[in-house]
Amino acid sequence: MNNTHIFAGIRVLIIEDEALVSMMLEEFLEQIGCRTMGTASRLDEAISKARSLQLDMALLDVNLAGEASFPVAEILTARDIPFIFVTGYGPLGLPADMRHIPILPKPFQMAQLVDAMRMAAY
Amino acid sequence: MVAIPFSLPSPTSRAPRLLVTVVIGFAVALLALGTLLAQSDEPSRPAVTAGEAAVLLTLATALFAASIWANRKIQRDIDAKFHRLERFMQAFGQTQGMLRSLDGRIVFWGIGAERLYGYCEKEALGKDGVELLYTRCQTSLEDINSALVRDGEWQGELTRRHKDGRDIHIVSKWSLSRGEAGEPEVVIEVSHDITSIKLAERQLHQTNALLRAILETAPGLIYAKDIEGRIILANVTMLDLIDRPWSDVDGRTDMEFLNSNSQARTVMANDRRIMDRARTEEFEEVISHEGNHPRIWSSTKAPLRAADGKVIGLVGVSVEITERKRIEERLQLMVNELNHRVKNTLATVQAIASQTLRGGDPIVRQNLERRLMALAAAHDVLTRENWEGAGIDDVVTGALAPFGEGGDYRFAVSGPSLRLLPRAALALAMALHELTTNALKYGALSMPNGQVAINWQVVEGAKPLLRLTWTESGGPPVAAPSRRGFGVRLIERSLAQDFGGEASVIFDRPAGIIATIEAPLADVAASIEVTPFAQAGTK
Repeated sequence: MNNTHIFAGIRVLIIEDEALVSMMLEEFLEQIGCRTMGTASRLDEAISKARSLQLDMALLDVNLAGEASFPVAEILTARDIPFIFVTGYGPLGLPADMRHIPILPKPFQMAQLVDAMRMAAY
Repeated sequence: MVAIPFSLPSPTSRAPRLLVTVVIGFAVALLALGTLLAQSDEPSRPAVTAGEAAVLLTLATALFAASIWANRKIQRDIDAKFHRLERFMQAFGQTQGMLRSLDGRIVFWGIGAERLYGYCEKEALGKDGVELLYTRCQTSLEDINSALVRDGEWQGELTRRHKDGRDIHIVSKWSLSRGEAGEPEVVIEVSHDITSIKLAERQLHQTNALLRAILETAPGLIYAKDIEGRIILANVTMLDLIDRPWSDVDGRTDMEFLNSNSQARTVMANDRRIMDRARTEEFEEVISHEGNHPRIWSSTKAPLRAADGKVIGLVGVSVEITERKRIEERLQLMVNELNHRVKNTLATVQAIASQTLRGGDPIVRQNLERRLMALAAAHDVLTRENWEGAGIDDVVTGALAPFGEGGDYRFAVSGPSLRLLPRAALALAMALHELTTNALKYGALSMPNGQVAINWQVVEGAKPLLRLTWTESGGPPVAAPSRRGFGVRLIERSLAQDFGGEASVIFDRPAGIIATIEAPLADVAASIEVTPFAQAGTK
């Protein structure tokens, strides 16, 4: 565990319907010392966790088993929790009012994940 | 000399003729008397003296001379009048006129008639005009003749036949000339050739019929508007669409007959632009109708010009593309979905690899990850271009981007712009990735001053070739590896297959690696096509 990283210790929610990708994200986060507070692969689950968990950051897949995750984005925005979209779509796949949210395009490397998180945090 | 075969009005008046007769008679009487007196031998009566006879003779001679003078003067009068008449007839002859007797025989045939019908005077005189000229008229000739006798004149259109066999259309005015006793004597005919006018008329009629047929059968909307945007023409399809009769549309603007004011404003603004710029444009227009979905039209509008070139309105054709747009949108949605799936799959593959190689050689894991990223980057370029191809510069720049941190100056990229087919774009991106990775580890880019020149060109010929070269310089001395690595094999095999050409990687000692890729241009480059709707107003 890397406790010297700038994101060391922050609490993160992973919302991603692809189990393997979700696991990889968890592993990446672990490497930089983040605490994964929970994972969600379905919209309802994502909504409830986004509402209830104590979070510093969220990674949000745009497409959750065919459903757009924008309601989750709204909850996170309302709670003032920074988040990034993890998506295979480009920025044009996003509603106009969410195009300023950082995007982590799939597939991604660790460096890109950290870059996106940094953009969301500041 | 024109023939004047009918009786001319008396060339001399009655008074001079009487005078001449009297003078001549008087002179003859005097001569007879003088002669008689001179020959008398009767003794009872004194003979006329020689003096008296001389006086009588002189008087007679004078009278005779006077009569000759008078006669000549009359002749001069007649000549002058004939001359004037002749000139008049010549002038009349120029007007494509002719004269004919009541029974139809041609009695005067001028140069104009010859020019019009092709027959010379000799061929025409005395002939029946109707027969010779094959005269046809919508009114019967009997009716014309009776009208002529009743009204003194007739005017109308006739068809006649030229000597060379072609039909001539004429408009003719016939006047009846009467004799001194008022009896019909001769018909004066003045004609004008209207064949070319008739022909133009027929062509106009045909053009109109054709235009009407097009207007009524064309599946799209066809319309014309004046400079104020008022409808001056609309075909049945258009009237059906707006569900109004022509009388409700004629002279009205879109504001008055379209349901949506905002749509009408847009349409009229489009029209205004075309008339102001005096330029043809093609664009999409949306028209909604009560209770129906909005319909999308592809409109082509062109300025309508007067004979002097001034724009006086516009003509337009609109074809419905609602269904096409719907299919296009669905297709776009599917392409987006597919792109999304491809990227997700790549991410999953990456995740699988990451889990599988956990705890293994970090270099191997990194190599795999980078290759996946290169593949994804090439996909990005193609996705942006809707999988229709990708600019070769975009592909090259995209492939080099992850390595650009050391400064782009280490890459010298040059070549003409060219669109690559998707397959070729992916193969090239992967090849460049391998070359760059190799150069970073073992080649020019492993040294601070190392550089790579990437150059491509089209080699013209019967089958033009695309040739791309990768030339490393400033690197460490290179030696061909004992076993060709995956990267080199990927370049050589994948490019050969996907480029349909040849690729070779040369370990040129000591300069550095030189890679050459050559492929038939037709197999790798997308032809540059301008889609017909990529104009104003479209996406």
